[in-house]
Amino acid sequence: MPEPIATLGIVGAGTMGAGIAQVALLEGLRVLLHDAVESALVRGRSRLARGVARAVERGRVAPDLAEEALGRLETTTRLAEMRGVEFVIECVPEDLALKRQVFAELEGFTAPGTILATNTSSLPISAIAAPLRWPERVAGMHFFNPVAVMPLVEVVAGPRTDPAAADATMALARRLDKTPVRSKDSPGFIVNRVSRHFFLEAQRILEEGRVAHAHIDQVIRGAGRFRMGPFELMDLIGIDVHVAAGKAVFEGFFYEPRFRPHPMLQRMVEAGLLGRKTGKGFYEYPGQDNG
Amino acid sequence: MAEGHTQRKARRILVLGQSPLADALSDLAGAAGLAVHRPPALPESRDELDAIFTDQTRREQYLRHLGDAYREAEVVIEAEASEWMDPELPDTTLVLTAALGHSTAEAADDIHARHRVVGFGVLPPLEAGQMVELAAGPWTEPAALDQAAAFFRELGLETAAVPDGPGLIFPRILCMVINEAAFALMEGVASAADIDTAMKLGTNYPLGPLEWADRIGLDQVLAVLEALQVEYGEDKYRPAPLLRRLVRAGHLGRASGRGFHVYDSGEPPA
Repeated sequence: MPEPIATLGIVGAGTMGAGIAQVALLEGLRVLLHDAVESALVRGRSRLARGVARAVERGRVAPDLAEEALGRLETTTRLAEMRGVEFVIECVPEDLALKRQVFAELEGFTAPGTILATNTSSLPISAIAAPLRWPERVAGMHFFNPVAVMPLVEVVAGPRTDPAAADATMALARRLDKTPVRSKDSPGFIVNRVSRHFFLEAQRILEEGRVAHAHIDQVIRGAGRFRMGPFELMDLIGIDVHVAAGKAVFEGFFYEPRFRPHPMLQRMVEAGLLGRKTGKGFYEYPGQDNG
Repeated sequence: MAEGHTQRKARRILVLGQSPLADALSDLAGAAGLAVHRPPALPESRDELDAIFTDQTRREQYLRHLGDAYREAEVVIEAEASEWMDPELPDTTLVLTAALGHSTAEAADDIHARHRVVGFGVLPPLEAGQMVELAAGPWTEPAALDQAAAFFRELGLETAAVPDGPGLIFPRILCMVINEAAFALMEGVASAADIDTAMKLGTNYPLGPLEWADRIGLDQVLAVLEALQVEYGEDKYRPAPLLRRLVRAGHLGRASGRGFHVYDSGEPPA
């Protein structure tokens, strides 16, 4: 087994990066959190400090331990400071060119043994790793939002990923008290692929015009014991986010008809009906910000 | 309940089918104090059943084999994807057909008292308060729908009216999810255990799709997908070849000791 990791590097201080940093700090790791934009770094730091404070309020962490945890956090706007880190998780936006650029730079700074993980939900690991000199040390590490709450991590090995790198990624996920599963580098991995039909088939039923979306949600909760029906869940995720994920899977499978997105959602995106965050999606959310 | 109160004979229901759903509904009905009758064996196929029903001698033999329960049953439940109903059922009987491998309309079409036929959809494992979907066929009388709702309430289940079609709402959606999980497993994207874990922990499914399929019966899942494929004529409903292969091999899930997962043989699955 490889040595346990002392310092975890996290590139990108957005929702996911800050969430992973929070979990890692509370699990006793040192974290070096990077964002190229100083203000994003400040926001990320205060976001994770709020998360740690919430954990204290709920009695999940002792106040002194929380303080120690925050003491293990360092932040930087200079990627070169990742030099001494043994494991880096990249959490920049889902843009292949951007991710490739981050990895090319990281490869220049870090030791060849450093594992470079990418937190992507929709890009192929293989494509992110391909231009590198050592693509075998790149693995996917797909966390779910909110990171502090969701226990799953999909660990993705591409065709060139070294099995030892995948194993080390599994070990890190367990170290973060998450439950890792192994997935091949296939569009949507497991969750975003299999769950497509929960949404798509509901849209097909709605499209037939014989039953209202609220009734479908009610049946799915009552008959299937799901916590949320497909339409309320899409509103929560954000219709635009959901559409983007659906398109990625459809395109990734070269337009396999099973994954064909429904035009209904595209119209909603164009109309600005994005779900809870805009105050209206399939349902209306009075009091939510409208715009 | 009080001593001296007229001892009423328990009302009879007949449950047709050998699926886990048939077992689960029989258990609930038994617990609710109904006299549940289940014919020990059914013909191999609908074709064979049709042959029996078109031959008067064989028909009488078959109905004798089902016993008096058939004529006396207040409710006859076809609790699996296949059709087993006698076309000549008396029109006092309430006929509940699982709208899985067919719509309510298709099941009712063969039956003389087709106004008495109500489609239902629910999948095991069943628990108290779970919702059963009820669908009227084109000829169903409102009284039959009301009776169906009252019957399921007596079993401790809730009901919701939904439009007719193969798989209604929840079984249709879940079977499509299961089919995708079967494709992913077949393609080696992940192990069966990891697929189930991922869906439970990554998106809060109450059960993993593959273990769920093992509880429902893989033949039942396949029947829903095949019926959808026929109904819509679309490739998207194409069943995963792995699902077909498992059904063909008799690996139907927990009840047969093996489905997507392997269960300890010998002891009944918990």
